[in-house]
Amino acid sequence: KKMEQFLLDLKQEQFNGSYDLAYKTINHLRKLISQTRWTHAQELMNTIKKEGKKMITAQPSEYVVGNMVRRVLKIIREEYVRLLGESEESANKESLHKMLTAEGNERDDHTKPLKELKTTVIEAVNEYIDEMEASIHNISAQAIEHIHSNEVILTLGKSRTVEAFLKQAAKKRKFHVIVVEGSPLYHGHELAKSLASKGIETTVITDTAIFAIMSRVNKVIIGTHSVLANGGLKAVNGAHMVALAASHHAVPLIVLGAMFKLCLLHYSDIGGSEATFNRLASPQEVLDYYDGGTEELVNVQIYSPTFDYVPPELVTLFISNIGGNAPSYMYRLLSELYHPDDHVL
Amino acid sequence: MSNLHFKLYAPYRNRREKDKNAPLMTLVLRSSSPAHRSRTPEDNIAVALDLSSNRVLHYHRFNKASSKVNFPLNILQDPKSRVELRYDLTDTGIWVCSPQVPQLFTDNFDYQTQYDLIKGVLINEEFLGNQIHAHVANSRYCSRVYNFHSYDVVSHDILSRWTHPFVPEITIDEPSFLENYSLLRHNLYLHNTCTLGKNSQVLDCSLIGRGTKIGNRCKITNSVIGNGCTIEDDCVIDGSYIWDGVKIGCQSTITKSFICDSVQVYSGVMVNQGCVLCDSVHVGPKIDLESGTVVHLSSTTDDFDDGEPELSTDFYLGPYLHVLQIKPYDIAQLGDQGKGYVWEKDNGSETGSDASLVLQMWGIMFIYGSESETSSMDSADEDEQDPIMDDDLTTFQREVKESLCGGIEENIQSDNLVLEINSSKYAYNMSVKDVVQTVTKSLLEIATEKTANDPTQYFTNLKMILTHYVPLLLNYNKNGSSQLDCIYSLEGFALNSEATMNCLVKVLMFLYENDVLSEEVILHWNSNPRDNSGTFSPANVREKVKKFIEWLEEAEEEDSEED
Repeated sequence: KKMEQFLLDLKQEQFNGSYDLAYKTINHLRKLISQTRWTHAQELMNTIKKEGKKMITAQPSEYVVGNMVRRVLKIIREEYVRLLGESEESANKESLHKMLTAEGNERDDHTKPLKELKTTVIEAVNEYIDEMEASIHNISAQAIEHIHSNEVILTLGKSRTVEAFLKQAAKKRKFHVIVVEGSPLYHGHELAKSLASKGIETTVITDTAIFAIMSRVNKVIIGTHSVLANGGLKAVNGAHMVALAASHHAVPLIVLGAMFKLCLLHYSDIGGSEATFNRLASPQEVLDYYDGGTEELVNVQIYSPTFDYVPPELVTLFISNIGGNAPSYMYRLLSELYHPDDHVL
Repeated sequence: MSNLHFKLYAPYRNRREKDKNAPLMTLVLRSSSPAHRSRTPEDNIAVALDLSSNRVLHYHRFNKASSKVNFPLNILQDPKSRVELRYDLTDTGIWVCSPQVPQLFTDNFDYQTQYDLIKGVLINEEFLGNQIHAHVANSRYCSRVYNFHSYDVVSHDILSRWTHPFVPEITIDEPSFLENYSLLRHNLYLHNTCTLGKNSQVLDCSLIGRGTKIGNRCKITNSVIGNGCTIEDDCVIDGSYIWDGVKIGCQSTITKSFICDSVQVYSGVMVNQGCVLCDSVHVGPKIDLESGTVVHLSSTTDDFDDGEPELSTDFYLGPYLHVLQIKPYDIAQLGDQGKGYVWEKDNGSETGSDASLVLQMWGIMFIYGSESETSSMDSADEDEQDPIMDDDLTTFQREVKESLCGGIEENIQSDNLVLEINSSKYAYNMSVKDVVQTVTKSLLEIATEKTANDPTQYFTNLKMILTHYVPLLLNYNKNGSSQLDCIYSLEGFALNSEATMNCLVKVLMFLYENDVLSEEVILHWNSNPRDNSGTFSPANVREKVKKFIEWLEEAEEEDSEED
């Protein structure tokens, strides 16, 4: 029952941001692990894969769901291997020696029933959830190192991470924030109000003024919806514009995002379907139905995309809960999070 | 069809709390300019709103004939109100009502439509104190479908994603989660099991359903194609709505039409704009369907006394037509393998310019220009003249039937019923003949309706009804010609009703024994069959009653001998 409600919410986009969705997904998966009957790890992984596929097809443009599923599968594999008694290091390393000696492959099979597997997996998942909950806090803790006094920071839209980041830095430093309003939804207004309530000097500018103002900006700090495997971003619409203006004026672009946002997909994996990368919302946001539905405009197509792709070369630094990284390094972090066998569910 | 958030419920609630009885309901209106394509002449309203309290002061719906509206002066007289007269609103059909609304409908039996209710409440506002409020919803989409034109507009809007998040790739439920629609550029929704042939193009706001196969070199624009269709090579489909299971042959062209389930269109057919092909019809090959043709599997013309091709009576008598029409299909209009009948247009509305969709079912497009206005005026005049006579008769028939129905249920005295029927007769200026025919027919109809579930009970029910109404029948069948009318209408009814046919003898016997019909009349009727036909012919009828007639003749001879 709850699963159906969850799928329906996914389809109708009734959730409050990536963190909320990730949290719900992983709680679901945890419930699945604890409540279904399974005898060995392979069976559990198959169940999770099946459920995961359902969730992903419900809303293909939300990568966080897929990330959570793959993360859980990786956790299961790790725990299985650890319980079998081998050290993690040797288990993961693909050495030449291993490839040549055809071993029993008990390890790869994952079919040996282990009694403590259930409890250890659930413990590990709980740990991961705690890590996720603390991610915003970890990111904000790094704020002091990156923001200096009397700096002018530009930001776009309303990201909870950026908000926490700036508020944390404001406790010790004095700086100036310029918020881009971000049409058509104008989330920037809310962010500006929230920052101003904490005593940060804030200015709101329109999207068209970005390029003009950029020469006076020291840093651009934005949040993102997801991070793609090549280090590119899937961010709120308007981000590509900001990134281009920043690179033109040689202003560093810092992207804040927790590790659960890092996904395996590349930009071209989407395969031609508009809806899996971008979410096209109602044209009402762009042009009112009063004008847009008239007879003359019947053959005019009005799009209101929700996301933007920002290529990795425009990004200077990624700050996540495990520290700062260059975009060219992001793909390496993937191997720590997900197992290569789970790339395709 | 709407993606409104229901926060407009909150102000309505507040109003109710402040004043228990007055706020009756809130209409959700949407502003759209008069030239907006979602406005059709059937839904043209002018509203007077009081801005300070969002109350509706006056509501007027234009009909096709007049384009003037009168706002009563008293709405402007309240010094505190700020009145706005608006012509740019459409009624979305979404009403937030209080529990008293259904009661209003039952109390006032002449409220047939929602519009009647609004008018009634506004007129009686001073006495009853009910108020209607309005909410103008502009930030979200809301619309309704009530004719072909609005179906077209709303479909196009859904495909253009105005109703997000209720868009096809999210909302359509597929049996397995592996099958779904993918959204491509230019608002195309292609199901992942559909197949497109070589060099076929699907352009611009279209949707292709599950399992549909499209042949080579086809061009599909602005159309919706349902599940399981097969469209062969070289077809051109534009602006059309094709439902499930349709097969379209090669080299066909379909423009701005409606094709319902399981239709088969053979090759080389040109379906011009405004056509409607109803379920399971076959058309073609190599046929040009004129603009605005409607093809249906059952014909509209039926052979009754009236002989009028009214669509409404066709549906009404549907259950009595046990056997399909024996009339042959029109090969000239529908092609060699055509199956179906072409429905004639109801009135003589001239097609003005080809640019406007003229067919009444599609809704006349609201174009500013004296040309179209005068043509619509003409057709309106014609409309008013012809149906006057027919309307009276059918209304009279309906009233009589209702009175008789009511008479049985409430056990009213026949005298009172006679009074009722007589008053209806004078009201509609009916002749005595009409009355007799109507009464007979109504009684038979009532019996038939009662036995809808169990045909064997037919005669029992009928006998019960007739017994109850013997005094009534006696009253109306006083002289020979009335009795003749009665029998002929009995026969006419029996011609199309198997149940009546079977017990016709018993009915005649009953009526004879109760002195409603006399022997001479029955014999006269028997020897003068009229040229009617229905499912059965007068010959069949006479066969059945042969024995009765023989018995009658013998009885008569005996009587005359005794004399």
